[in-house]
Amino acid sequence: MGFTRRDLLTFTGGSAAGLMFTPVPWSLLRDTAVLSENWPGVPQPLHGEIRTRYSTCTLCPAGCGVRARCVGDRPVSLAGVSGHPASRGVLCPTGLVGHHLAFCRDRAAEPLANGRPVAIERALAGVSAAIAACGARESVAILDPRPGRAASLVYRRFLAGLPSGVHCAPPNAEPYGAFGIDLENTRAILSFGAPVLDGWLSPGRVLANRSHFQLIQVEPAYSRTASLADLWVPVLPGSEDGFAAAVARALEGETSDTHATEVARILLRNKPAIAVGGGAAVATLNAKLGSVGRPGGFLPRRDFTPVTGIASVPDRSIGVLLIEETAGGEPLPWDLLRRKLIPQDSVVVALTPWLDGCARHADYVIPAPMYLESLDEAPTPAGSTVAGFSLSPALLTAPPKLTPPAEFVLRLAHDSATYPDILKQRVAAIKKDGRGTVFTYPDAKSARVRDIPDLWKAMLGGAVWLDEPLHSGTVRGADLQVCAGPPGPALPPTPEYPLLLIAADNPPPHGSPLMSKLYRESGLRRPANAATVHPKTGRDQGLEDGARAIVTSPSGKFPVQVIFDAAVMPGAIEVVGQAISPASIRRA
Amino acid sequence: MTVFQKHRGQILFVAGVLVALAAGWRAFPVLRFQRVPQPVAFSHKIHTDKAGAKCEDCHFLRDDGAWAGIPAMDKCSGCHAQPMGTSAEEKRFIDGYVTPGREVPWQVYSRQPENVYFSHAAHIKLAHLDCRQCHGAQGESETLGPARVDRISGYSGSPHFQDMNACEDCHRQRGAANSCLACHK
Amino acid sequence: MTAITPKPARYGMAIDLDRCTGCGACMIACAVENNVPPARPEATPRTGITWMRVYQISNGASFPDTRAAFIPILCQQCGKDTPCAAVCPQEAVETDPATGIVDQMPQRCLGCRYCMAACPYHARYFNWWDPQWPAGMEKTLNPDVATRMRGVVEKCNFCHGRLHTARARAAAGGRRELHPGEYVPACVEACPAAAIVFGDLDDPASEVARLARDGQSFRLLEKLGTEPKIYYRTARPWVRQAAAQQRPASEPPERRLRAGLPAPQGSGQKEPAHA
Repeated sequence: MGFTRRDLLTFTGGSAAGLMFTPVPWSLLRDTAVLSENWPGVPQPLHGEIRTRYSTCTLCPAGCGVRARCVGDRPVSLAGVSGHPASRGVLCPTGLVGHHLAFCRDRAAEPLANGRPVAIERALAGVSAAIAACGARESVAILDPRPGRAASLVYRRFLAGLPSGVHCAPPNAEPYGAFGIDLENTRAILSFGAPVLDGWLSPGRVLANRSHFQLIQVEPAYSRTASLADLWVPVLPGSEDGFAAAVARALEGETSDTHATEVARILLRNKPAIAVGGGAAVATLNAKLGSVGRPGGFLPRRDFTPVTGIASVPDRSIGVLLIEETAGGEPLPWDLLRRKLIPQDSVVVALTPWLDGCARHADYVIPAPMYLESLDEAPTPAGSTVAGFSLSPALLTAPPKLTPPAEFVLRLAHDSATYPDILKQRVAAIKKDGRGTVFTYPDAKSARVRDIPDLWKAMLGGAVWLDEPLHSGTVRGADLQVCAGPPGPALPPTPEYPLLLIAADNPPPHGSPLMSKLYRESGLRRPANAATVHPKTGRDQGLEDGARAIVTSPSGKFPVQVIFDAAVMPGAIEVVGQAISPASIRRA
Repeated sequence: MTVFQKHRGQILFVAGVLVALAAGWRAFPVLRFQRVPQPVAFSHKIHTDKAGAKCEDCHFLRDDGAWAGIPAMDKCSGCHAQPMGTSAEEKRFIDGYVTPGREVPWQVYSRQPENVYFSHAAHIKLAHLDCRQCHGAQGESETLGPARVDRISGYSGSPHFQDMNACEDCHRQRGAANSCLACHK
Repeated sequence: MTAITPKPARYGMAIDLDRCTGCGACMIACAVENNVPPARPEATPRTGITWMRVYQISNGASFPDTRAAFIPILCQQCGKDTPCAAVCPQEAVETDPATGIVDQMPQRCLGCRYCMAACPYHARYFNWWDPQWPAGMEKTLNPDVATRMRGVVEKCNFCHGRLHTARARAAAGGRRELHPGEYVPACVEACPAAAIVFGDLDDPASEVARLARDGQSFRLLEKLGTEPKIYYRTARPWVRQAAAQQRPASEPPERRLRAGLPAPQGSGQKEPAHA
């Protein structure tokens, strides 16, 4: 009589019954529940001491203060700095996730020559040789996206030592030249296409003063600013100057153009008023409004050195072009840049953190540190009425093989100084001049620069220096010529291209994937492949809302998805990031 | 027929019950947990007696309310850059951790899942609890015992820290916050 | 309640729709604070996670008189007959009597999504996928907020991690009560236009209580009787009228788009790369 299967089952049944009276089933349930709720595959945050560190955002010229919450040494979130004179405690959406840029896939990791990785010494040697080979008729140019920095001085000094060196800037790099805008006292802003409520000057400053001024937006597209303005005047592209002239006449009393009359009435009732954006006619308008050199208008600063715009460099004249791109910078107009190169044997060097900008067209790519990866500088904040300076200390560890653009040029000049050395010299010069105020954090205390014993240390802690206002000197309206150029050429529609393709709301090209996800999921920003048309225009072209279509223009064609929106100008196709041109649209 | 053969089924059933009870109450609690020793045989007693250290020298509340926790290497190397005593364990510690600047991978007795939030600040400063009420006589111990780690979930097996029960009981008795997000993240 | 807990607060917000420019800083600050991962390519406006989400509405006029307004929508922290709490089979949702915040416990949730059906404001979001961050970006996670795995619902909890930090700081100073401004959710701190005001609705001295009583303030779907704690303010009648609809008056065109088409060539505009 052995142990049978029935015996085993009975024993097992007894065990199971007995187990119910032990902690086993409940413990197992609880433990597996805890394990399943804390699945190992999900990344967990790292822990450490929480520290606050200060820096300055360099993703756009506004130069907003950044307060970083760091775990150990890693920033986990960014915020604005209360009491910051330029940013008023604000950080825009792009700045809020700036600490993610270092992890984007498209970044340049190592020096490239003709697309192949090389050592930095080899790249230096190649670029030096190309520069040395330039004769007197082939200039060496450096395209500087933020002229006015200490780095810009490095470029100028280097180029001055060459037979033919050109320091130039992209179009619209300095839309207001030597002038800042006295937003605090302005009562009306007539904007010709400037994105006043959508990333203009320092957003914190603009929004802090929003309730004080009337906003008139003159532009063809139903942009974010147009949708929120007090008055939107939709004009055809290229006719902005004509409208500005009409407004100038209306200010004198002429009433033939109803829109211009309405605008003039608003400007006269809300003084002081300024006009921004646009070209020569806007400058004349500002002279008529009396906005130059007066409170509430354009006030000149001390620090300005004019720089050549790349558009005014003669075509086919540049032998070696060094292009610096910033981490958050706008895409550069490659077609325009290419025209300036000599037809044969030109050399393009991209000093950039990104692989997908000018690096695609460059012979040499010198990878630059990403935002927050190495000590950088923030010159006068955009629109500030006084000169300013702050440092952007690093909060992240930079990977190897990166070279700050200014240091690359210093090497070309056989100068062994580092970029931090240059910045130290700049800070020393500020201290030596003894003018201005320094704001230190976290308390936003301000002190005269003379009273700060160690200005370099204060700046490494996030301090901001502001110069004194420029009180003397006469300014003429003509000094305001250095304004943003008109938005686009006035090419008329043709039978082949009966509609008008206009650009709307260009968001920054590089942002954290978190930002693009949120915009996409909420529909808050138009996707890159959306073409927004007025319903009547859409139906006339045989389309319906949501249809797939192809937009064709003289420069090419691209697929889109159609959105009907009765807000858009009839006859126009609004697409993000496109140049203005006649176009046609048909079903795909 | 023997007694066994006559009541075979019942006897085996009861035997199963008894074996299960024994296994469940005696063997399972032991098997459930892995005993993980500390990497360094640190003695609190030596440090309080001979070195005159107080609790707050290593375990303190920061100004922002965060708990400093187990001290990092820079605290230990402040004194132990050179051997302070003659033990082989200290020499092993200096060679293996102080000199190369490696952090000691201490086992945390109260290791909780990521979603648990505990504030030492509230319990020390507002509830006025003594360290011993939750941590026992750890501060006077000669050795750090092994950490009991649950084999399935990987979290703390100390009776006090295994689950919410001890926390909830005390909170209920004292009328402290009992909502979910008071103690969870 | 003994003296061990501070005086109960009823946290709420007042959002000024006339100041909101639809920039989305609140959405981004919320996602950074609460460890919301960048989306999978498959995510759509319906399946993404946006604890704070800004909607666009228009005044219904045609070119050139169209004007837009933006409404940030987050969990309205319903104060009465909270729909999501009432339907949860797991008791994973409860209203904290000390703060008035409707707590959602993702670790207790079993993912039935009954609460998502019950929420009249569509303010609850489901984790359809396990979160994934691009290599290295997971080191920027906020240690004050736990990450969630797939299969659970999550929603705004007024940045509870920040409440913990504020309480710990107060406790370190021996205080039980929080000073006004010591506890501020991420969206409130981030808004460039200072459109969101946060505070204790039961504190008569607080700014948010004053704004909530003001004639310009209204709440969404008031007739449902959920007593939400988010007050919206506007001086524009059309905004108020549009916000009172069950759905926004004119559904923003962008929300009808599906993801999927590549960016046009040469646009200079590119979908940023992500894992």
